[in-house]
Amino acid sequence: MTHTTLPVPDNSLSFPLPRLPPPSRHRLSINLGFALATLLTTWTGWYSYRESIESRESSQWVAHTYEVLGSLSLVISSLQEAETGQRGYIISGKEEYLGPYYHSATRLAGQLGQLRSLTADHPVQRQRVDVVSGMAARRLALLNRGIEVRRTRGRDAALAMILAGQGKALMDSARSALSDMQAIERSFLRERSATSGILARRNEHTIMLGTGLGLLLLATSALLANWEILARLAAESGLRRANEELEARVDLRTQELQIKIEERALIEVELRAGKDFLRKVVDTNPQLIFIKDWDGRFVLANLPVAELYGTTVGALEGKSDGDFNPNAAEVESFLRADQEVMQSGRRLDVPEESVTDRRSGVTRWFQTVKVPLTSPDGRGRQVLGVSTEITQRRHAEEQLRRTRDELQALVEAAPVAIVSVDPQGRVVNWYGGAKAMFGWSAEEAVGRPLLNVPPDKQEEHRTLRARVLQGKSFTGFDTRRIRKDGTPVEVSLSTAPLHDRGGNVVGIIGVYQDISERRLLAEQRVAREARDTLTHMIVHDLRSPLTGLQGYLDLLRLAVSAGSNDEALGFARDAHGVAGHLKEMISQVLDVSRLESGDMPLSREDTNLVELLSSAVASLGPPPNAIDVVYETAGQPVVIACDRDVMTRVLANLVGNAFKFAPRRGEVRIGLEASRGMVRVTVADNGPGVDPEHRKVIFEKFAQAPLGRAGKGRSTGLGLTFCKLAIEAHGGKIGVGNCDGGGARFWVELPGMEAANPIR
Amino acid sequence: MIAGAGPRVLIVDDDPGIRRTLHILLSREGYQVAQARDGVEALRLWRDHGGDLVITDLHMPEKNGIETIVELLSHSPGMRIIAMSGGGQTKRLDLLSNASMLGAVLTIEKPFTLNEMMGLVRQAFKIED
Repeated sequence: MTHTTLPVPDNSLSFPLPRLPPPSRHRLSINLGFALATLLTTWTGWYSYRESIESRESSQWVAHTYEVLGSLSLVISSLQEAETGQRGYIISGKEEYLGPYYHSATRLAGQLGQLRSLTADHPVQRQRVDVVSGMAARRLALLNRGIEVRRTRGRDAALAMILAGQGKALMDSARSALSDMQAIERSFLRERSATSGILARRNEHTIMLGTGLGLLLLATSALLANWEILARLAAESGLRRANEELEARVDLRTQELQIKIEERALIEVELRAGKDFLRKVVDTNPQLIFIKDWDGRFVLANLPVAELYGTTVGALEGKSDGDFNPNAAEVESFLRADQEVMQSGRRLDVPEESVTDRRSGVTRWFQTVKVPLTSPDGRGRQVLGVSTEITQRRHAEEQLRRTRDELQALVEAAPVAIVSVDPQGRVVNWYGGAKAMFGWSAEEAVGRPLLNVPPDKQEEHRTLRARVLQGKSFTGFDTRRIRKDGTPVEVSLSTAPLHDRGGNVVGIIGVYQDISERRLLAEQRVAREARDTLTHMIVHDLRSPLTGLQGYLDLLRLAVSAGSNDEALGFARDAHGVAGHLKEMISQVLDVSRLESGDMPLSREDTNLVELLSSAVASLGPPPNAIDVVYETAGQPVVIACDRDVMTRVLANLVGNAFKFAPRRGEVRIGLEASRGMVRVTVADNGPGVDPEHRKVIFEKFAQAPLGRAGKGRSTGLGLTFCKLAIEAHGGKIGVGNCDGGGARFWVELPGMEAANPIR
Repeated sequence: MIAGAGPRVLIVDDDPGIRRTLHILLSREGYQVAQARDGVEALRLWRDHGGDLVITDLHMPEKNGIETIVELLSHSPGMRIIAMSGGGQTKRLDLLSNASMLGAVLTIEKPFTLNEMMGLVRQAFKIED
């Protein structure tokens, strides 16, 4: 069991986080600054607290002094108010002036008591208070007596008493004592105020200095701290941004992952669908498809495998061939091949292997390709096999082989030679009959161009091959081939193009039939017929001159009987001429016969053709029908080695023929030209000419008879045949064409003299 | 060509020896003789001058004897004709026998003597007479 897992994307962040700044070297300074500032402030506070206590005490003393001074003033003023009220009563006698008097007298007691307590700390002043208190008491007692006097004795008495001045003296003393006290207090005040001021100033300085220093330290520390904070803030801000970015990335990644997960889900669905599809494809495939492990157990097998083994696909998994195939040899061979593939890691083509069908026991044949595989976990070796059933093909091949064998046997046994060649003309097949006919074995012939084509048939062979390659087959083409020993063999050749499926010609098959025998028989028959015909024609053709000869001889006899010698002499000459012609005709027949059988030796001698032409034309006598004979020769001698007599007869034949076909008052042109190594004689008339179809056969024996155009009389009909044989015996060629303006033009080409003895 | 006042004879053959010997023979016997080398010339002469007897070879260039005979007979039915043949050519003789149905055609095989020919000429005119 394997779990296929999808690759997990790498989630690690791929960018660096900003770092917090390292602990500042200012930190100590900042802490120190703050500590010092704290210390300094504490000290300043403590110091100023102490100073303020001192100052407050000092101030209290000053205030105390002011209080003492105030109390002194109040005592004086209360004494004066009491005096004023008493005098007002004395003067006015009105009781209401006594109110302030009583009020001041009452207050004075309190004021003196307060003064006494105020000056408790100062013994001198305290004594003076006591003095003043006595003076005040006496004054009040004096004033009270004045009031009493006023009341009791009237105003004058009272005034008299005042005027006595006792009161005044007392008052002055009291005032003086109070002034002294005031003076003392004032000196205290000055002293105390100065102390208080010094204290206040020192305190101020201390505070200022301490505070200033503290502030400086604080400011410095604060500045440093501020830097630190700013740096931290900046770092934090960076960190925050990074964080935000990170979050954004995480978000994005999360989304991507989400999408990927969805995609993966989709892919998995598709994979599953694909897997199902593949499974279907694999199962639908008519070929056997399987994967096996090292031990030959099926890892995978498609439906056809299961069907072959008569089981299900599921049941095959984990099982091996041996569990289903009763044929142990097959099972063994499968495993061997599988292991060979797994071992070598190379593909193996098994062209043919049999599998025994479990159900029917029938042997089925397969062509199998085995390729090595690695198991999905990458550890195990496996083999994938695909087997195509070839049972039918094998049967068909068997059938084909049988048919081919039969055909082969047929071809080998046939009395014909069957040969196939490729488009380039190289032999592909060379069957037994060919060896029998031509002598070469298949080993000698195959792969090479046809060896049996003689040099003079190569051109024809090429032409025929080109025609067949164009798709035009032919049958029964008579031609000549050679055997291995060089002897010729007459054959009738039939060919047909071989096509591939696309209709292209990929070869030619040729069937040779040896027609030597047939040809021989035919030739013999033709020769026999020709001989018969020849006999008839000779007989016929000799009859006319013979009749003429007989006629002249009859006339000669009559003339002799009549005693007319001159007449007799003329007829005798005529008879002689006819007899000469008869002899010539017979010679011609004999010459043709001898030339044909190669039984006529030529007595060659150097001969001037110009002269020979003249004498040949002269031998014909004057041209008939007022025919004009035109010589087209350079006039210079043209010498060749030839049989003078034979050549004369050839030329006479050609010219005589021209005379026969030229019209009345017509023209016969005789040409002679010599070029390097070649002499050409032409004899042209302005008669009806020769039809192209007759040009070849005109040189055959008795060709004129069927053509119905040659005359008789002085001809055997063998004239042109004789010419052809005679010219060929000289190594030359003869032919006929038509002149531009009509009329036949016979030509003869003869090899000239050797270079050492050029044509003169 | 035609001389004298006797019956007119046209000799047609491409062999000059035969033409000449027959010409001499028949002229001596009192016939008016004309000669032609081939059938074409013979027909031309016959149309132009007419005649009483045609002695023709069967094997000639241009127009062979059979054709010539057929044409002459169609021109003058019942005319006298002596056909000369080389003999041994059954086919041609068959043709000749076919031709003789059209008129009074006498045949003679080469080679013949002048006497034999003279006898045949006389026979031709005798039959006619």
